[in-house]
Amino acid sequence: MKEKLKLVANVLLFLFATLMLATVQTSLWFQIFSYFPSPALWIPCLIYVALYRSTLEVIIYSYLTAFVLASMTAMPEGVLMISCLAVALTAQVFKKRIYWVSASYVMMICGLAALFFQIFHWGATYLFSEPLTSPAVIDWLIEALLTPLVAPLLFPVFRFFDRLTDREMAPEIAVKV
Amino acid sequence: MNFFAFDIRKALIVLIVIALPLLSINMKRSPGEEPWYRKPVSATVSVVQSGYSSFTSGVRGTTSMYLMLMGIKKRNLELVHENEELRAKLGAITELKLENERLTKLLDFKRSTNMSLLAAKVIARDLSPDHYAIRINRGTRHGLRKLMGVITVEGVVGYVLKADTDSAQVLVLTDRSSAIDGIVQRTRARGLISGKNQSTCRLRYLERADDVAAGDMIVTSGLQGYFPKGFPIGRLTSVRKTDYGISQEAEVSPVVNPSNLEELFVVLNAGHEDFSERFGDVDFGPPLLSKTNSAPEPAAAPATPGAASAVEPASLAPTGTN
Repeated sequence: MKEKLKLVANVLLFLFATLMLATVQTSLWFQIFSYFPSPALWIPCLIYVALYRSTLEVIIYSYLTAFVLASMTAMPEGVLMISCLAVALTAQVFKKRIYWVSASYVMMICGLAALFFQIFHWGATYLFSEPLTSPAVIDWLIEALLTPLVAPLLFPVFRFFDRLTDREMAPEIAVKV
Repeated sequence: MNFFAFDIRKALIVLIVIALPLLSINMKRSPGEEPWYRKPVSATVSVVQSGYSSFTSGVRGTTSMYLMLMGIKKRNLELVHENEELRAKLGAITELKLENERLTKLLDFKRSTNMSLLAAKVIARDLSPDHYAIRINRGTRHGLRKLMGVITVEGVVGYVLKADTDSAQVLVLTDRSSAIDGIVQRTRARGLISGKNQSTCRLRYLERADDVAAGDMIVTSGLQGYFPKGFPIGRLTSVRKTDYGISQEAEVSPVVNPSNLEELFVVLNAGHEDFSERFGDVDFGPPLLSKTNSAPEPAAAPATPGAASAVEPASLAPTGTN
């Protein structure tokens, strides 16, 4: 019972972090930098879960992330869910093929995830909603370049969440930051 | 002992020695040229004294310059600090002035219309760079409801997509899932405005026979009262008519710059105001900004974003239709 509570607490902590980071991205960044593209601050959260959790947990967490983010975008929830899920699962598959323990890996995969999220979203719009005919590619690229810069700062916080809820990962898959 | 028996040479020398200072004292000083015997001494003295003088004045000059530089450096730091403070104040004042101008313009607009308007401020942008929605600091607590029109003094911004208690999400007209009923001001041809990219919209479902041309102003139809009638949406930039099909499509450049929004109005009640009745087919011109306070505002009446079908914004625009 206690284990389950810790698991729920862990998920809630990560969702709260996602919410806070996304609000910083949409509001605080906006107040300071106006409409200049922001880093996808919530992506590292999703990627951390994708890298260090089971596939089932990743799927559930992706949907919960989409649920949290839906209030901050005009993107249809279904498209958001599919895009989050696709990014998380791609990160997991990618990790099985290529992985090394380093901050540079975290940065690389977060940058790629930020870009792939937009690409998956682009594709999803053609299948499930109004097609995105004029994608803001420059904004995608800036976002993908900025996101890796914050990822190494956030991963230690996520590890702290894991320590709090007794979900510390095994040393061999720890991330050196 | 002979009293006068003394050495005459010695006596002479003593006399001369005594006499020299007396002679010197009593010598009349001539104002003219120095005597020859003083010239070497005077020259030497002059050189040495000049040297000392130059040295001391040099030292004094350097010292005073150093001290002055110290003072200048300190003063400079003070001035730099003061300058920074003044610049910051000036920036703040300029910002306040601009804000004041904007708000005055909004207030003038609000006073000059019958519409019930609620001023709101943009507090956040959309999470995705491909969607153009903004969040405003007014919600259901302030009387907002879904689909209410959102405008600025210049023209239409979009409409309320989701209304929460204290904030609301506004779908900007440049978002591709937005749909606002519009009419061509010149010919009254009707179509549906939806977004294309950050700075362009599309006018869709125009009948093939409709007379439209680049430069035409698109205004709100005012059918359901979400927007005032005849309120500017954008200007046609190009018209595309394919070889077949029953409609034509046009590109529209919005009057409002969607990436430059700060304060705006939510139309709580359009008050049956008709801007077109007031101003007819006046050409609004591209920068409507300056017209708003004065009369030449293309006015509005009850208008509608989604127009006839304005219920669910997303459902207004049939997907995949070109």
